Amino acid sequence: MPRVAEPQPLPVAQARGGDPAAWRVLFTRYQLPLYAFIFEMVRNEQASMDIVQETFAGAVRYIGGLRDDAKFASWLFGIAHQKCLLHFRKQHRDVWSDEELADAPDDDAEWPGDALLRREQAEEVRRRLEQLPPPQRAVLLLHFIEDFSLEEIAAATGVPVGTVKSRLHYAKRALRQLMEDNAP
Amino acid sequence: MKTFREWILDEHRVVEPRLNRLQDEVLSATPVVGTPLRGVREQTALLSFPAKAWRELIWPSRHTWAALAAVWVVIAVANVASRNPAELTRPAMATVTPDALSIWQLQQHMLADLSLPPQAKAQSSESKLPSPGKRGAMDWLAREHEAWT
Repeated sequence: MPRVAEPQPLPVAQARGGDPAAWRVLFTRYQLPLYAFIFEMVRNEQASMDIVQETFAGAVRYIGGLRDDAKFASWLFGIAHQKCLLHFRKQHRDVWSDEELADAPDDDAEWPGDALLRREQAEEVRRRLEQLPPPQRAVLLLHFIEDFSLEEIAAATGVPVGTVKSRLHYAKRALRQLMEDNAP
Repeated sequence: MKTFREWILDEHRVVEPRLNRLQDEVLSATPVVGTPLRGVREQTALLSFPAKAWRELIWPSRHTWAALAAVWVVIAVANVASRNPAELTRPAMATVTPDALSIWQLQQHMLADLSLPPQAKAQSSESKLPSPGKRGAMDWLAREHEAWT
C-alpha cells in the first residue's frame, strides 16, 4: 500500500527554530487527519476540537523533545493518542486496557480499508470501526488515516511492535467478520 | 470510488474552517520560541541533572530516604552523646608524653642521617645523639609538659 505522499519536505526544523509560518504549514498538513483520528476515537465534536487544540499546543511546547524530524507525524499523533487516553480516563471509562492477544500471523490480505469503496461501503466500515475496542480502533485508524508503519504506530501508541501487529491483525479480522455478518 | 482515507477525510472536511481558526488561537496563545539545538539541549540536560535526580531517584522513594536520613541523625547524636566530655576539652598537647617526644626527635635524627651523602655522614657521626644544648631543651620541654598536665 503506498504511503501518504508528502508533496514537499515538511518544515519541522524551521518550526523547532520558532518559525510561526512553519508551524502553520505543519498544522495545515495534519489538522484534518488528526481531527478525523480523534473524532473517530472519542465520537464527540467538541471534545475532538479541544483535543486537537491541546495537541497543537503540546506540539509547540514540546517540539524540543522530538529527536528525529522524520518522526514528526507519529510523534504528533502520539500526543493526540495520549490526549484521547486522558479523555477516556476523565470519563471513567476503562476501555483502554485490552486483553492480551496472541501473536498475530503475517497477513496482508485484501480488506475494505485498502480498497476503493462506494459511499455506502465506507459508511459501513466506519460504523463497524466504532464497534471495535479503542486499542484496536486506534491502530486501525492510524494505519488507515496516515498509513503509518507498525513501528510508527508503536511509537504513537506507546506499545511494542508485536502488540501493534496483534491489534492490527485482530482488528482487521473483526472488521471483516462484521462486514460479512452484515452482508445481504 | 475512493479509499477509506479519502472518504473519512472528506467526511470531516466541514470542520476545516474551525480548525484554521484553532491554528490562530494556538499560535497566539502558545509562545512559539526556538528550541536550542541538540548540543545546547544536552548542556541544559546536564544542568538539570540535580532536578532530574530529585524527581526520579529521591522523590519516588522519599519515605525510604527520609528514614535513612533519620537513622544517620540518630547515629550521629548517639556518637556525640557517648563521648567522654573530658576528652573533648583536653588540649592536644596533653597526649604527648616526654618519651614520645624523645622518640620523635630520635627518629628525626635518624631520618636526617639517612638523607645525608656518605661524606657528610662520616662528619656528622659524632652528632647522632642530641647535643647537650638539645638535651637541655628536651628536659625543658618535658618539665613544661609535666607542669601543664
